[in-house]
Amino acid sequence: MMMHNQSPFITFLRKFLKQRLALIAFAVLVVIMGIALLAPWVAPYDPHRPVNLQYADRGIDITQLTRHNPVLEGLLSDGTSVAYGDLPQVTVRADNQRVVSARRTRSGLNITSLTAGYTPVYFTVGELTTAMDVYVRGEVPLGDIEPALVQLSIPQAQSALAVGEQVDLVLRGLRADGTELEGVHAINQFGAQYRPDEPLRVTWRSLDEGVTQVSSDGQLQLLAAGEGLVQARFGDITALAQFAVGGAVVEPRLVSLSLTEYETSLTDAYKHQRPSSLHFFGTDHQNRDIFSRVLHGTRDTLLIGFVSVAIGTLIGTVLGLLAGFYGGRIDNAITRVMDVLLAFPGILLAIAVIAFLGAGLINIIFAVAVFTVPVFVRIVRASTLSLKEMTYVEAARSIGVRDSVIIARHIFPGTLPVVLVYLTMRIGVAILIGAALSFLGLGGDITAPEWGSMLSAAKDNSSTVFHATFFPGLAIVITVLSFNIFGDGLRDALDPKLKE
Amino acid sequence: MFIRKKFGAASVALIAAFSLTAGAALAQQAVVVIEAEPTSMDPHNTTDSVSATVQGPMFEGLLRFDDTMSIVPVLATGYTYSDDATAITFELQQGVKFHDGADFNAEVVKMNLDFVRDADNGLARRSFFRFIEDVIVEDEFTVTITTGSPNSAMASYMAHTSAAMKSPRVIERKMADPDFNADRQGAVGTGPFKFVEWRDGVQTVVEAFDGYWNADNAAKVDRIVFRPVQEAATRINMLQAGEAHLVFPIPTLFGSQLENDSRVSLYTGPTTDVHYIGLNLQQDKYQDVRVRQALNFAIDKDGLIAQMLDGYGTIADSAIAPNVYGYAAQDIYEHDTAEARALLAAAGYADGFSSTLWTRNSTEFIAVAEYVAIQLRELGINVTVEAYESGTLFDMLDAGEGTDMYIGRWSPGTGEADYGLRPNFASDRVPPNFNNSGFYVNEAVDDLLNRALASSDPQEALDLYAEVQEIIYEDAPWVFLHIPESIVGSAPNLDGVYVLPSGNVHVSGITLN
Repeated sequence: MMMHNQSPFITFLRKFLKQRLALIAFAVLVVIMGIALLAPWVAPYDPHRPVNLQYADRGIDITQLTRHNPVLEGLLSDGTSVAYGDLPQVTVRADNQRVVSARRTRSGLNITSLTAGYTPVYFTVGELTTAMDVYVRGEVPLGDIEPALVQLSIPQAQSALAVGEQVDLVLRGLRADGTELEGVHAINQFGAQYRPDEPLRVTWRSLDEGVTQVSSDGQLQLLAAGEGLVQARFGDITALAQFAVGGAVVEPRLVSLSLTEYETSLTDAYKHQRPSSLHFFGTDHQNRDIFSRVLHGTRDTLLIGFVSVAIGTLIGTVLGLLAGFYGGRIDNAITRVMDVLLAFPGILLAIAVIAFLGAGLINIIFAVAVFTVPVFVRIVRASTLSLKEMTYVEAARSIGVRDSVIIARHIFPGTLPVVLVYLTMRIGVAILIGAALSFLGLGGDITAPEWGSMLSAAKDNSSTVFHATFFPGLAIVITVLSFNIFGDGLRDALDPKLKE
Repeated sequence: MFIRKKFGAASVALIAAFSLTAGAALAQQAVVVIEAEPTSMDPHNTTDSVSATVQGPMFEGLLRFDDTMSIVPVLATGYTYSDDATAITFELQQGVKFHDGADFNAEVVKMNLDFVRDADNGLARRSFFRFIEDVIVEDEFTVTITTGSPNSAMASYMAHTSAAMKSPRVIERKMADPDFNADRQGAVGTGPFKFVEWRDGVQTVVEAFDGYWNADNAAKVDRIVFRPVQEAATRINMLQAGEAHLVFPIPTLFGSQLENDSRVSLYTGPTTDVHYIGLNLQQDKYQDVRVRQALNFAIDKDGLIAQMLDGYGTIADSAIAPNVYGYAAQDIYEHDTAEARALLAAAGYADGFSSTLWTRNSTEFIAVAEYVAIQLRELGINVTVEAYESGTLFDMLDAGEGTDMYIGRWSPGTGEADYGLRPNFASDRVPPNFNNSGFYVNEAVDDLLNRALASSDPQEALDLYAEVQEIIYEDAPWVFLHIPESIVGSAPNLDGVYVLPSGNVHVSGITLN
């Protein structure tokens, strides 16, 4: 075997390759870094915009999902229909205003879904009311809902009516699913099933001045000549019938309202969509795709980790080399300052730095760097102290090599293994501190897709759903754990005492 | 002549549910969980609704708003306006005693109002009473308030919680000793409950006052304990676990869950809070009305209510809410991106512009600010959201420097249009003098507001207010957003509490069955 002639690097590699867990961690890190670089091309959605504004580009029509424009028309007693535009003042009212927002707009009638649930929506013109059933599907399953009665009509009398006659009024009801109910009895039967605790019944009344009289079961007495007008009511739904009694000439009136559709199903696609094939990690409180946000957040997160630790390492190593090599006053001064910094808990020190500099990504990087410095000073100083006693350093000094060259060429390389191990370990910690700072809202831009601020926003706005906090949290855990395991593997592989 | 104001307001009346718990054996203690620590026990130095709610059981004013926002007499038995609406005379209730034994009479009313109006005393509610010119004691139980200019809203002002009457002994003590802390120790009123203790961050306790003058309104529980709990989830858990009898506010996110929870009764009702985005009209970009209207068209209010308020809200269709006296509905700015783009292009901002949006740093405000920013970005308007602690934000707005866009919320505590509109739109209310932080100056609006206030004919005033609202809505000095609903949770056996649209919760009639 040629063991002792192997370069140290090959030795290190062989030792490292033996550690399965560290290898896996390293593979994960390579993937994470790949994502950080390629996020804009890999992410399915724009992380800053709500997905409903992006569906159009992907061929999904969101207005169909959240808006319905009912088409209402009226019917006159002479059988002609009246278009919506020619109807007098229409009022629209949703029974449960949390489920949909229903109103008249300049362009027509408009029903917009708000939150999951079921509600009837009523359309009223004067004494006439018709309705439609609106279902909004979302997180809450709706269960079984009986289609409501949505329209009533009283078929017009065909023959001329004389004073003193008696007419049995007919009433037709229509349910939201299109089922027809023929006659008052059938409608009352439905009313008893529909709401067993307080059964609904058809009521009749005369709206004219003494021309007609109507009994509670729909028997119409014609008392005098003139225009007769009768209203049937079932719950909120009404219909009218007009009669020309005793040969009177009457102006045709609006007697019923009809819709082209009596039920519609909308969705609550405004926020907190659950994980699905459309959105792998679901959507957040602003309806942004969490998967895309996590991918985009990788870049910021790694940037905080790498850059801050790089700065901290650089400063820490230089100071550590100086302190260890020269000793004396310089050593004292540097070590005391570092002891003061080390006396603070890391996160507190970082918060103090942010409080001093203001919020923002750059300042977070700086804050994390500040708390990385003292650790490196310590370890580099310790190895420098032992390295400068080495014979080859003494030899270099005796032939008059300058201090700066000795430090750079003879001592610094000796400290590298320790620095490298610590570096990978610190990146994990730095990412954690960075995430903690942006979680506390010190990252400046609260809307940025940064893992810590995503968690913070989810805690505030999405405490009722799991996916908004789970996935960014998972991303932090995997990344930090990978760095730590990888660092452990490095340490073991670089340890000379460890046998192959 | 005697003018009664009618308020068309729905409010949240709590209806008792049958309870199976027999709590009669214990001394009855009602636990009310509030969202924050009260700031003061002095109604004249209170501007937050939490403190007003805690003071409610201890203090009474001459009038108050009932659960439909109608004015009802309390320490006054009735009131009369002079014909030109420059004076209002109150007949006072006789035989009323303060908790410290002092008698209530016209002198006390004068003392209270003069003390709060005096700038040297530095009370937070001083400007609220600015309309008063003089307080005249007619006899022991008759007092007249006069104003410099006609003011038909005086009764509404006197029904506000900050027009409560403090004991004359507290005022005398404060006059004698400027170091006396009335915020901590001045909780001496005429209400059915008297002050026991206020421990910071722990609780404020009041107990039934046995010398209370009005048997009809006497305390129905022995003690009320107010506990501040900031975390909404904790408040809700306390309610579900039976540790609290009344909890507010409840975030809309939990509304759907609690609606199906048998351990909790949930009440919702519209508030009078109008949420809006203020625009600084001194900035060039907002001077063109088409830009302001474009911003109004750009925002999908339905989406905002669905997303941020979980459906517990309505679109603001005027600068004041439907429950405010004098409200007139306008045609809302429907969400219409094409229209918004066209208006921006016509105003010369086809490529949009950049702006900064200031918001309070509470969760709801930040979420709304984010939402608005996202929607405006679709039009190329690049909005940067900056969140500040509310006190800091108000100071920045009052300073009036560098204001661009800001999120605001305004609720007139008097429940009427003048206080809903004047502080926000009158040209003499620009910074640092109140809430017109967008520097909206419109002489027609000033004139109509003044004429409406001076009018002693209610219908004429209503017509003038309707006209003002039409002008303001059309002129769009604000981006009109929404009016939230308040959600209050209570134990099923609680009764006798109502929530005013102004956000104050009236707890002095609390009953546990």
